[in-house]
Amino acid sequence: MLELAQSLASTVHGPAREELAEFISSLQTTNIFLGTTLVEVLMAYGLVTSPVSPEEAREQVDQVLTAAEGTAPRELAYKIVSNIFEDIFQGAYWDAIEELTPPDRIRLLVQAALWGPFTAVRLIGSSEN
Amino acid sequence: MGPIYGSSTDWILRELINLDDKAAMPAFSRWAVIPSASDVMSQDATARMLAAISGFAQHADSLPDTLVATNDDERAWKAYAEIMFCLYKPGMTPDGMRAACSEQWELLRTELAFQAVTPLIHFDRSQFMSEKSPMALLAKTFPNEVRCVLEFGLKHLGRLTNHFGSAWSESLPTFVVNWLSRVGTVCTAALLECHLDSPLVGAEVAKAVKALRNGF
Repeated sequence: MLELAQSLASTVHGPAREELAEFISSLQTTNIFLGTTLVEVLMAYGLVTSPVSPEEAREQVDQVLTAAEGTAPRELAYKIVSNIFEDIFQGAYWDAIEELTPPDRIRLLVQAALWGPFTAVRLIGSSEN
Repeated sequence: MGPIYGSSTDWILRELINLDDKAAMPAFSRWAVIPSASDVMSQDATARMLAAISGFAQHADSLPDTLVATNDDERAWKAYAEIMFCLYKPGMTPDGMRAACSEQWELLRTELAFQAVTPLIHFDRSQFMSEKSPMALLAKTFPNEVRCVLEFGLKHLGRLTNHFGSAWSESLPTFVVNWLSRVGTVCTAALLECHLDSPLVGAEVAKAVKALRNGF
């Protein structure tokens, strides 16, 4: 049913769309898979606002780029990059990364790649161990 | 050994490879490590290592010191990592690659023969950069070496070790037979024929023997 509603999102207009949107908005689930689909349907009807605005996403990216080396900016960089795959953010993080110059993009991606539990890594001759 | 982490890291490393800048070396260095044996996502873990090696090869003359092996399975992975480094190194000639990798192949054919087969199926299933498919590159550049490793594998299927435990173990016999049909010789066909009655791989063996016989 959710998939049908999603497929109709671009073709249903007027009172029928409003009625459908109202019904979809009333749906609730604790099932993680259904939840993902429900969010996608809500987005298709314009019923979800990204929890992060494009400006906020840009600010977070700037925070990473201007920060000194450390764990916190790496973690933030990884979250920023991971969030580009999350529909809920509606492209805010993707656009923020796309706007970067190649050197800044590399810096952000390197910071993201360096985040993680270093205890499981044997780093020979590294001060980060 | 690499950390059990980083579902987005494969994408990040591929983006950095495309950006082709030496500034990305810290990221490649971090992930140019032998994957953790306990990583349940062996495909992702293998793809990360291969991506990091590919990126590292763009700007360095040798692999980083982070690539350390502590047992024979890891030594086999390290030997392949060094071979993959040569394959991904821009400007390497086929002769140069053969010379640079002869020591690693010797190790894989002899001392590490029981460990040398399963890394190949992990490379094949990692789906890292289809245009630079690690298994296809290995088979194209080193067909004889890959054939020797796989022929040994065919003879000793029950005794081969696997860095990732049982991951892809059920698919291994079919994988070995299918790739032998591509890199094998007339002698390989004779070796394969011993497995024609196998309920597990008999059908694939028949196809492989036919392909090899038709090729000569």
